[in-house]
Amino acid sequence: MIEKKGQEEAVGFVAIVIIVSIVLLFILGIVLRQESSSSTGSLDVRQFLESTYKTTSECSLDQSFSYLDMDGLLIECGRNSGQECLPSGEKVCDLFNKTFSTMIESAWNAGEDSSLKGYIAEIYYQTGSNSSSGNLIARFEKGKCGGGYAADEFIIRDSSSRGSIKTVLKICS
Amino acid sequence: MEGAHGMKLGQIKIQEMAFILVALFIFFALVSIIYLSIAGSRLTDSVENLREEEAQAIARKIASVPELSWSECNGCVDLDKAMALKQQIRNTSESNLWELDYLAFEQIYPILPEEECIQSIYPECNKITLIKNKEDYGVTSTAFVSLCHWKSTHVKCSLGRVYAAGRSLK
Repeated sequence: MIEKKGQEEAVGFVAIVIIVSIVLLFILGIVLRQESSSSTGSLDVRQFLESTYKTTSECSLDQSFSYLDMDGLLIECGRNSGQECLPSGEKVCDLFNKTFSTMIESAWNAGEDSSLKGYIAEIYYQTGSNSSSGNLIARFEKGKCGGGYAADEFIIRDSSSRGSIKTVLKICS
Repeated sequence: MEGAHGMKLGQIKIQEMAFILVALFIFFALVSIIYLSIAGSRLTDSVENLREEEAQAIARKIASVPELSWSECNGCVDLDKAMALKQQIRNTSESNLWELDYLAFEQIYPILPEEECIQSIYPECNKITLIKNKEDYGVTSTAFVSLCHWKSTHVKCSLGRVYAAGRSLK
């Protein structure tokens, strides 16, 4: 009788230890997952986007050859994607996509051998009244984005349509 | 016999209690160690982030001084002014400008030949080193900036970086 009671107590003790261990592991898992996937509103990423959109493109829409900045090129791409750039004759959206991806590649040099493993850039068009994230109009992606990252966004106002274009860039490490 | 049996039962209970106390102590010690290490690493990260952001803000501020800024846009560097200042620094041997040991601008896009800019090849070069007081100037702070200059009939702005190191950044 006494032996049985002792055994029951030992089983209870083991059960408590197992339950506490599981709870501890569960909490630890949540904390570590939050830690590894943490993001920062990165000043570096914001400065990159600001400077990128101030860069002069190789696209002019008239014979006076007043070249558009990257933000102007993106707005023209949103307004009428069929427009052609002078002097190259390339479509505005094609030129924007090509230039923007080259700029990300040159600035961040992300890849398997690099400390930065990849990036995701998404560009959304938002109408004036729309409070949601908007329609995805372009996406650029390279490498893996599983752990920590630095991210920020940049908004360009389109005064003629009262809409805005939001660029979200995530650089993954 | 019964007394000996009771004593054995008491010993078992004391042993159990001791085991539970030891287990609880180890458990709380482990939890404390894990919590402290996570909190410590978070604190270190946030301090490093703050330092990095502060250094970037200072590097960007340097790009906004009147001797270097492009008047038509905030945070843009006038490359023509930078070239003129480089020449002036070389002529006057001014070495204590903004208390910096190192200050340079590098063009990232459009991609140009990797060459230090001198008057004869400017603007077909990708780097202007304004200040380099020491060979070992330590870790540089860096920030993205727009680098602008006049190109015959129009303004051309490029994507670049400013690198700065020195006492004012520490």
